[in-house]
Amino acid sequence: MKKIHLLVLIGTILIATLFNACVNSEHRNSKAVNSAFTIVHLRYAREFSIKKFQTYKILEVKNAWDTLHTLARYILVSRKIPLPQNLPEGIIIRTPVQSIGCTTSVDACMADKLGVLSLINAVAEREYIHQPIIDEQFKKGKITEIGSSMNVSVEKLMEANPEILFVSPFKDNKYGHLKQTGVPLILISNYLENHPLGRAEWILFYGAFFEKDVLAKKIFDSISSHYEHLVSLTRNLSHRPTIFSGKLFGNLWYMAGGKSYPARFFKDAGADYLWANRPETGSFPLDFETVYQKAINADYWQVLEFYNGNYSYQNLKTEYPPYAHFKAFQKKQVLFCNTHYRDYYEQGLLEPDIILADLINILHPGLLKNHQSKYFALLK
Amino acid sequence: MRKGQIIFLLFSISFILFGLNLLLGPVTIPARTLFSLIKGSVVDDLSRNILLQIRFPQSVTAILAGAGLATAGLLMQTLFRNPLAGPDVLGITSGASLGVAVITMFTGAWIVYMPQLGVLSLILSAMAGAMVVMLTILALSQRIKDNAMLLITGLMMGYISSAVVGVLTVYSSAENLQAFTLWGLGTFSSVSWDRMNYFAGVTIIALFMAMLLPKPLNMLLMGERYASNLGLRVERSRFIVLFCAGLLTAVVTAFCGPIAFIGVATPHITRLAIGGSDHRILLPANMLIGASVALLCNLIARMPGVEGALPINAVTSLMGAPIVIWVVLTRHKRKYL
Amino acid sequence: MSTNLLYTTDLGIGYSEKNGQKLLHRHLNLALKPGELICTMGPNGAGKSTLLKTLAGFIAVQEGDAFIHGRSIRSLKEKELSLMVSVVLTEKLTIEDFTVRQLVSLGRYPYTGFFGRLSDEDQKITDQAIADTGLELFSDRKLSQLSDGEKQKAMIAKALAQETSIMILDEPTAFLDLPGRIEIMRLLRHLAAHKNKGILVTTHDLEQTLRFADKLWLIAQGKEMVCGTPEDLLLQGYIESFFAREGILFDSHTGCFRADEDYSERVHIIGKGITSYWVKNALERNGFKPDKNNSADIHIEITTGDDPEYIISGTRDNEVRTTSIESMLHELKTYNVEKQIYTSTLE
Repeated sequence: MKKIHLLVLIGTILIATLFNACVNSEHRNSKAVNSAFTIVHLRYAREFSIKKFQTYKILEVKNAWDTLHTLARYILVSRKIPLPQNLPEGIIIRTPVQSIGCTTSVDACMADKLGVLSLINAVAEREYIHQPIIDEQFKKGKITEIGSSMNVSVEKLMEANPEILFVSPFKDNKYGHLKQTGVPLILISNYLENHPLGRAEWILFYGAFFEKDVLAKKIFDSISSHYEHLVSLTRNLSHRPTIFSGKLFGNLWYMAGGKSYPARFFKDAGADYLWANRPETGSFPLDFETVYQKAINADYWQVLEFYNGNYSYQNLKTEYPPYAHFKAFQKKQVLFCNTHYRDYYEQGLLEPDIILADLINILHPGLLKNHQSKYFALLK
Repeated sequence: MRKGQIIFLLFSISFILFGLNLLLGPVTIPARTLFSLIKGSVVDDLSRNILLQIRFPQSVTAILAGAGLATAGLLMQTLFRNPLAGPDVLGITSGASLGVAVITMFTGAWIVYMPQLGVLSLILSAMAGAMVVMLTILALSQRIKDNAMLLITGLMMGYISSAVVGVLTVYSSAENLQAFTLWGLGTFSSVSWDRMNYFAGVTIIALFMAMLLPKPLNMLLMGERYASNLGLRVERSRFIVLFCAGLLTAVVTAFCGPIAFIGVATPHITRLAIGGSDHRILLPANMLIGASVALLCNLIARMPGVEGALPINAVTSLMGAPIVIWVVLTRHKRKYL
Repeated sequence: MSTNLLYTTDLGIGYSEKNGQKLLHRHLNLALKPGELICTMGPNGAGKSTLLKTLAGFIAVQEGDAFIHGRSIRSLKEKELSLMVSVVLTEKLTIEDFTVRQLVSLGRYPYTGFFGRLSDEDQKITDQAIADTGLELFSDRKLSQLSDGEKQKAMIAKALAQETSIMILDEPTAFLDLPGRIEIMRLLRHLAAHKNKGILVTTHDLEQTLRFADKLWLIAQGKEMVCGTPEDLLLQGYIESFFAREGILFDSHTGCFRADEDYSERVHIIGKGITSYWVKNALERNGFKPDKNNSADIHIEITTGDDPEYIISGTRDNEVRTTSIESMLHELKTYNVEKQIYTSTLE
């Protein structure tokens, strides 16, 4: 071989080695990953956890149906730093995310509160989302409709291609087919929380994706302190009116369990929930006679109904005439929320303090000053 | 046993079951309270309301629905000369459901609860749906002589109706969907006193109509040729029988939702009990047995010992499906149909 | 004409189909008188059932007209027809848990009121019909417990109870055994004669027809229908021609159809009476043609007496004596044709 060729060869090898070394040195530097972390303290929420490491965060969503396994784990790494090596297993998300997809209006409410509505570029069931900004964005063509929350279109999702998609997990997973789109699915189980504040506390979970942890905490603290203040007002009341909730569904009445979140509301509002001693965290079925026997003389009756128009006592009576026998009916003490107009299940999640205030205002009139009811009012 | 004695016995059974339905339920009401109420004495409000507003209308509904469906089933089994014919099996109930679904799409789900005009529309639309399916099955039965094939066609009609309902629900609003779903569960507790007039009125008229048909039914049992030779105007009679069966199915389905198996199974119980095929005794006996079956199912559905209640269709299916299987297994030994 | 219960003028029978009519027979002029038992016979597919169904009013008259009790069948309603014509069809009964009495009483339906309640008169007529068909002992038994023949009689009793002057039966003896067939035909003949009914029957049973029918209607595809007394039609050769087919022969003596077999040998039979007839039968079955002539190579003599012998003679020198037709046949098959035995025929 000629000398010049040898030189070129050596030179190439040297450059290659140098290059490698540079790359490797970066890795080596980051390899010193700190294994120390802090756990974010959650006061009410049980279904998720946040662990903060030096260069990343681990967000875990618990598996309500199998407590031995986690439902999902997300590794949040800031965009500003290079991706650390040896990250734990999980779905890696670079933060702050720059585009998001929502399948329920809860997601939109959270985004709104966190001030990131403009990042939404994909939405399911647009008709249930009540933010005007969303409408504007749709008009501008910046948001793609991706189907219904139960049935998200793979193609539409791929077209919109948000960085993450918020979804609600169910026992029989309806989102498996979306994995092929490559869009990370962020599972939101806030509907499984039994405490109203637990549901609201999920704002911390959401906030992490936008690096708005501080804002999220601030918002939640404001909600929780308001809520706790209201609880303190009713805690020592001696008079606690009796209350029950729900309606017949076919020939069954699904009554909220004693450990469910409606029951929590009743307790915190200073009412005596007639089924408070039931252990269920969800609802359980009763026949009409049993409800009738126990609740015939209850002071208040809470009804939630999605009704197009003005719901009235006449409606109740027409549905099932024996409803008119309840004392709460006769004394016109039905606490009513029309979920068609008052977003109890979605926006209400972020405003448990207002819901509580509504309840207290009706159950203990005069206790609150100048409260404008937003969700609940006495049925006319 | 003579005819009169049989009817009396069946009536007594129905009466006892009726009494039990009043007496027994999730809330314990002592017998003497019931007797006091009957006598007209004062009784506590809770018991009075439960007995009069809940259990009484529910039992009356069960009686009428049971008698109605059983009669529809008997009429269909004779008309099609098929032991497995029945309102649910031949898709008539699904047709009625489709009728109800269509009308709820247009008027809103509350029609299911409305008195007067709403009720009329409800019955008519259920009728329309039931008759469309019924007439289709009748036309097909001219061409399909094989009983088993006819049943399969009926099942397919049921599937078609359900599919159309499925499509409609995609376009319906959430509240319509929910109300319709509720209705679709089937129950005897949906008819309260204010709607009882319509339900009882139409059902009793239709039952009365059926009671006028033993002679044509006996003749149809012989086959159309023999029936026509004995002087029966076969086409007209078939239509009347069909209309009566369709009306009964429609009205019960419209008010109570789809109730399975009472139509198919009861005529077999009746024939076993009576030991004959003469419709002069079969018709009234079948009505009473149908009422008893419905009352019994209602009792079971309501009394699992806990505070819940079983869906009525679960109970009727558990009772009825074994009977249908038994009918299939004994088809070679059977001396009728 | 006026004494005819039923008559047709230029009747055309067949079916209406989507693209026009399909006519099986045209220009039929038939008549049924009181007291007559008429049998209709013909090969399968001839149109017997179609004729029956047309006359019973089940399918429409395609051409011409039929008159029942002097009234056009086109104008008769089911109710009116039910008082004039009763039927027994080949359809299997689906309902077997009726008792005989219940079944027969259905025949009274044209006369009963709205609910089909039987008056005393109706009961009497029902009982009489049961008695006429010999079913008194069975009247409270369920149909499922009867034999086929008894069930058939019950159906006839029902038609009887209907008190019509015309009875039409489609193959009433089809699945019965021989005594059963004779019983039914005898019953029908009796009903025709003593109750003055006009009875029309389709059948495949030539033997019973020749015995019991007053008239025979022969019907076949592509041929004109022929009506007459059974003996006339036999002697005129009509029966043979209506059922003619390759390899089938008609024996005018006995009124029986026989297969026309090939034969290998002619045999001369000497003997008389019943035995001679049956020896011929056995020989024909085995390929031997009975011959009246003396010129046949083989002769069989049948001796008279209580134990007849069958003596084979012919081309061989010795004669072979057998005591049963079976052994005769056996010997015959191995017999050398050369031997001959002479016998004389007495017929």
